[in-house]
Amino acid sequence: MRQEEPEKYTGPVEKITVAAAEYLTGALIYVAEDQRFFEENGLDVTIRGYGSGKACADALINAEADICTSAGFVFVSNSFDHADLRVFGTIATAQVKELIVRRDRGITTIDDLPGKRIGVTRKSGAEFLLGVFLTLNSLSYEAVELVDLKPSEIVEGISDGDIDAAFTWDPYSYDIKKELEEDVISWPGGEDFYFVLLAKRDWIESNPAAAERFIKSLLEAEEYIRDNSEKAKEFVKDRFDYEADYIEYSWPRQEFAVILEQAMLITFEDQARWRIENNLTNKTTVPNYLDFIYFDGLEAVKPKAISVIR
Amino acid sequence: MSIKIKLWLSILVAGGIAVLAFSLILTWTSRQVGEAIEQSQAMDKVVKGVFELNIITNDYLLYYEDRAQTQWDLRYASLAQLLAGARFKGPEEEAMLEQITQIHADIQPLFSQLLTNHERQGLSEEEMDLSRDLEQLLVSQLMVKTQTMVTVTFQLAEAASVRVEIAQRRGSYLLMAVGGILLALIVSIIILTSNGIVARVRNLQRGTEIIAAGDLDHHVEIRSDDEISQLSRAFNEMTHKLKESYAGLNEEITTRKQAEEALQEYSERLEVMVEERTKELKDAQEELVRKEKLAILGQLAGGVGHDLRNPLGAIKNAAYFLNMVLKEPDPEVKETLEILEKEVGTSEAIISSLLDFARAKSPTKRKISVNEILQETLSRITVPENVEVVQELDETLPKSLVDPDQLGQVFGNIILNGIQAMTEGGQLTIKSEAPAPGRVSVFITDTGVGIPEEQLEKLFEPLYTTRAKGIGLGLAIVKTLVEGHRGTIEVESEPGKGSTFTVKLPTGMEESKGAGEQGR
Repeated sequence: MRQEEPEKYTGPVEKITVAAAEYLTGALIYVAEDQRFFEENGLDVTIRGYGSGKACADALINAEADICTSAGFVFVSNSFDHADLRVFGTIATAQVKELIVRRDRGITTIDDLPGKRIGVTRKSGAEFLLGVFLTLNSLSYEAVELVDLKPSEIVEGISDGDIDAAFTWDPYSYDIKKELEEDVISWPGGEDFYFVLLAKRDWIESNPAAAERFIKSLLEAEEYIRDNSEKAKEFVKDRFDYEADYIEYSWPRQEFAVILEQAMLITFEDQARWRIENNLTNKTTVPNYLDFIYFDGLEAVKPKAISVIR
Repeated sequence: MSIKIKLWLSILVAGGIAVLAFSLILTWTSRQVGEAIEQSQAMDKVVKGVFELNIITNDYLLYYEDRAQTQWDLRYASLAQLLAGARFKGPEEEAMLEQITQIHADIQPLFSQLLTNHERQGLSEEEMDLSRDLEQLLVSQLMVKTQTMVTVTFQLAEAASVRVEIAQRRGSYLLMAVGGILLALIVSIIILTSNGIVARVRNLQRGTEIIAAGDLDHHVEIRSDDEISQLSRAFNEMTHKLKESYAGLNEEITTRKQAEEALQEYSERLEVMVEERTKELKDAQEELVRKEKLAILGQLAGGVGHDLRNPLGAIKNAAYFLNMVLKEPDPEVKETLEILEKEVGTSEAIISSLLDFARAKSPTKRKISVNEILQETLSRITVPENVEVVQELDETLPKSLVDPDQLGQVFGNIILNGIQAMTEGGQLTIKSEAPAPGRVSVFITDTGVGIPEEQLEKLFEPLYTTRAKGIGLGLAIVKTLVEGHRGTIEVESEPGKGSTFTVKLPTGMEESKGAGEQGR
């Protein structure tokens, strides 16, 4: 339930197409739609659901959407070649990636990892975070054998025993644990992951008011989720046809908030640096991500949500 | 001004003072707190700026990214503006601000030098070593200065926060103090007002008690024009009217009492008057009866006396004849003849009395002194040797117009009665005096046996006697003769001691004078 009634928008209604990830991380978008916050803020929003952040970003880049949601890593991947992308807020911060290992492969501690086959989706944020995990635990890539698998293949691979461990994210990590139960153990995989709102510079500079109202709608959804957690969970569970156990497992690992944090820039730079070092881009310098941030929308609605130093 | 208005005024005044005081204090406190908060908020911005500069410095030092450099420049410039505009009260705060500003100024050249050093290209290995040494030095200095700036900034922020607390606390204490004073003021006003009211009500109560005790002259003091004063005024009015009513009532009561007393007196007088009147009537009736009796008696006495005189004359002549013819009578015959003569004489005396009584006539008056009549009367009476006669006659006694024969008879009768009452002897005192102009009194006192009280009333009634001899007409004749002179006769007596007969007569000289005058 909203604490206070928002001001009624009485201006012209603007149409927006949003490419949104059809999973838990995109909850703010779907709650805003369900609670008619977009309508109340004069926005006619068409949500196109995609199975991954990469697909959402591709839709944006291909002008199939005005706004998209994606993992920060996906944004960073595209930032080298698309300097017109603009991050104007987040939809979630999550620590959802983890390393799951099979006990029966002799892995009980991190020190048992060298020489093991680890399934991971290469060139994804999972690979990046796996690198962070290994480095933090004084292990090099060469110490382990990385097996490139799609997210869905990873579940099957570890279940069948084709790999000894898997570095993946929800819901795949949940499925693995559910499948193998006590036969596996897991460790959290590195830093927080940002899920961002992306738009193109031209669009956002041409539609600042729409961008602002879009952010306002998401902030109202954020307040709704905070004040009606159980209802929101129930909605999301039904919306994405999740099991109740999964919602209870994954919901606490997400933070649904629209922010622009200083740490986000550092994370972007770390990811960019990794891409450069791993030759995933032909660029040799880390972009200045300060230039990729659009502050005006969030500044107008909730300036305290901005902690980027400027 | 009514009490209600006074109270409302007091409340309004106190309320007004309270509102004014609170407003002033709140205004002052708000200003103080506002200034402190403003400084604190300014300090918060400085803290944030310093902290972010510190973060971005570390961030830049990590990877020397352009983004970090851009952010460092932006933050440095905005912090410079904040520090330039910051103002703090207190010398310590000013000193800390100055220190921060100085450090802020110091880190710019260090950062610039670090930047320049990092961007150097095409260095030899030796130059690279020097460059790395310089970088390490610059980094450490930069870290030290930024850390110091952060520390001092937190201290300044704490000081600013403390100022806010102090300002708030001061305001609270001031409000409490003023609130206490105002509360005391209001309580004082209430107490003074209520005491004043209570005192005046008590005064009024005392007034009622005083008036209830009877002091209707008491007035309740009126001090103002409020409800109690109006009540007091009404009370005084009531007292005044009560006093008037009371006075009127008293007067009426007095009048009634007087009337009652008069009535009582009159009633008593009436009783007396009735008694007197009754007595008068009784006396008059008795007198009438007596006069009738006397008249009848007079007629009877005249008839009997006249009729008895002839036979008595015959008896007397016969006795004389016998005495003449008998030469030497027998002693017993002689004694009997003597007794016969004596008793005839007595009978003649009685008959004379009867005839005197029957033939009582008006006095033939002439001017003569009563003393002369008394002396002449005494000379005719044979006084026994054991009776001493004392005369106390007033020589200045004026002459009176009286009938000397009748008064002689009166005095003679009384003297004889007195002598006869002193059978063992005694003293007979005869006194005369002129008690008032135109009046003479004669007192004849004996020291005889006296007369019992029950006999005194009938003493002057005709035919009343206590003696063996006589028929009781002597004093009746005396009374008639005295009254014929318009005088009175009284008797006082004490058995065993004696009696005093008092004859009071008018001199009658006014008549004489008048007659004399008329006669001219």
